[in-house]
Amino acid sequence: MSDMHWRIALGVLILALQAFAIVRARFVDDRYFCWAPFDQQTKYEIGVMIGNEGLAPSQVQKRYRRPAEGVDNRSAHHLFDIITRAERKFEKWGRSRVVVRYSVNGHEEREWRYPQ
Amino acid sequence: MAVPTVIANPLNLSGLSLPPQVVLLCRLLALTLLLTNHQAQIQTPFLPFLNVFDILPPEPFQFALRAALVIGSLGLLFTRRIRTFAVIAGAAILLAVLSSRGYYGNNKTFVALLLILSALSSQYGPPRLIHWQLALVYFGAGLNKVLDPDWQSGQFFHHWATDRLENPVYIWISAQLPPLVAAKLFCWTTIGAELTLALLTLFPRFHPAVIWGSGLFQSGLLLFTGDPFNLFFYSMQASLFAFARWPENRITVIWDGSCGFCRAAKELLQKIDFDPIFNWRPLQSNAGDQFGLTKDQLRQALHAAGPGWLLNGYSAIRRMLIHLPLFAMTIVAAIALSPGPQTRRTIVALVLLYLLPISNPIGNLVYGWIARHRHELLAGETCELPEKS
Repeated sequence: MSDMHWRIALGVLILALQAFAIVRARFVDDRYFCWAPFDQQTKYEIGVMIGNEGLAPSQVQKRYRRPAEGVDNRSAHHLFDIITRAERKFEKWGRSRVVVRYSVNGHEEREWRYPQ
Repeated sequence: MAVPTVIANPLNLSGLSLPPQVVLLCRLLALTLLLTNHQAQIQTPFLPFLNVFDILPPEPFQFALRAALVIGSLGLLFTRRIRTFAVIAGAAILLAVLSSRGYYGNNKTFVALLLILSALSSQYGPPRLIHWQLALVYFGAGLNKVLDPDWQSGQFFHHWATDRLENPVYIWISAQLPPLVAAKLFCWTTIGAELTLALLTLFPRFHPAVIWGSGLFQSGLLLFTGDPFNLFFYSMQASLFAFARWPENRITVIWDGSCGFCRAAKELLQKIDFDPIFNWRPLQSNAGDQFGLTKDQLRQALHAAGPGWLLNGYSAIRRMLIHLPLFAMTIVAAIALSPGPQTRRTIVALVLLYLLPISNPIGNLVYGWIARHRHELLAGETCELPEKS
């Protein structure tokens, strides 16, 4: 294959992966790489307890690289995914309990907990 | 001292390894990345999408990505190695996205893919990979919305515009109508626009409609929110250059060679036309004959002719400016350096007014006055000379 053919093949592969991600997003909650920007407004507040001690907002920000409270322009499941993965990673240093109070698009407030 | 051949003027788009409009696209992205200091947003690896990033030394990896992004952006602007530096800058952002769920974002992914797909594009012919990329973005966005109950009912828009943005225009419109009717209208218009644009990007004959449709849609979003959503506004607008039919030959500009003011204006435009894309021909040279234009018509106004179009006066000047990279770069810089949402809104509104036919009455009025008084505006009238062969 010529240089140009390789380039086109690579470009088509990149586009095909995205098409796959768009289809995959129909079957999973965490819709990464599916081109769904700004499709949800998630207002949230994260509370973290390690033992009997609660983390300060700055500690929460450091732990998840997300503000302890705010509004995300994307699926609430991105936030849950980040917390779940971060907690699994930090598990060896002690178990934590996380409560996220959130509201999607102005609907009633709900709670999500880790561990569930 | 001779300038090394690798160094390029950022305002020169021709003679490079990619089509001029793709070079402009890449350079607009590079300018945006530098002016918004985007490299500072790149994080150390954090909950990466691929586990391999967890074993890399975090700080050196972050430093390498930041350095690659800055070098890639500078290389895109100031060298002739467009493909190489598009890959460097694009790969830096893509690796930053893949290595951190904290940094991940649609706008960053889109910029990375635009740069990489630009580098993979052919030197000749339309950049179809970029067309398909935009089609995927609009299709994914439209599909996600059309299947979301909050978009179907208008709840998303109502909450966003009322509680989050507190947009007075929407709140007023909404109050005049039954509950959620205005919101539903905005939601379904957005869904319809996104899915239609996804389809139109695939057909070259609809590309002018894509440029106008997507350009207005994204500008409307910025006017509504005042927010460029990080790199999103810039990248969506820059991607539209991939749909532009760039002139293969130079644009013929017929001007009044006996007018000092016209000569000064021509010389000013020539100074910023580095390719050059304009072929200036005085009306006294019978240049109008090939377009069926009489000397009388040519004396009324400047004429410009490109592939499939012939314009005069204000419309010709507007079309000429669009083909000068300095025009788009100045707009990008002005928006990127804006101190706040109101300034951004004002700049975008003024650019839209200028580009849309709505400005024709005022533009023609101003142009007509200048054209009528051009011999009085600047000393230095010249005698009519035949064109040099």
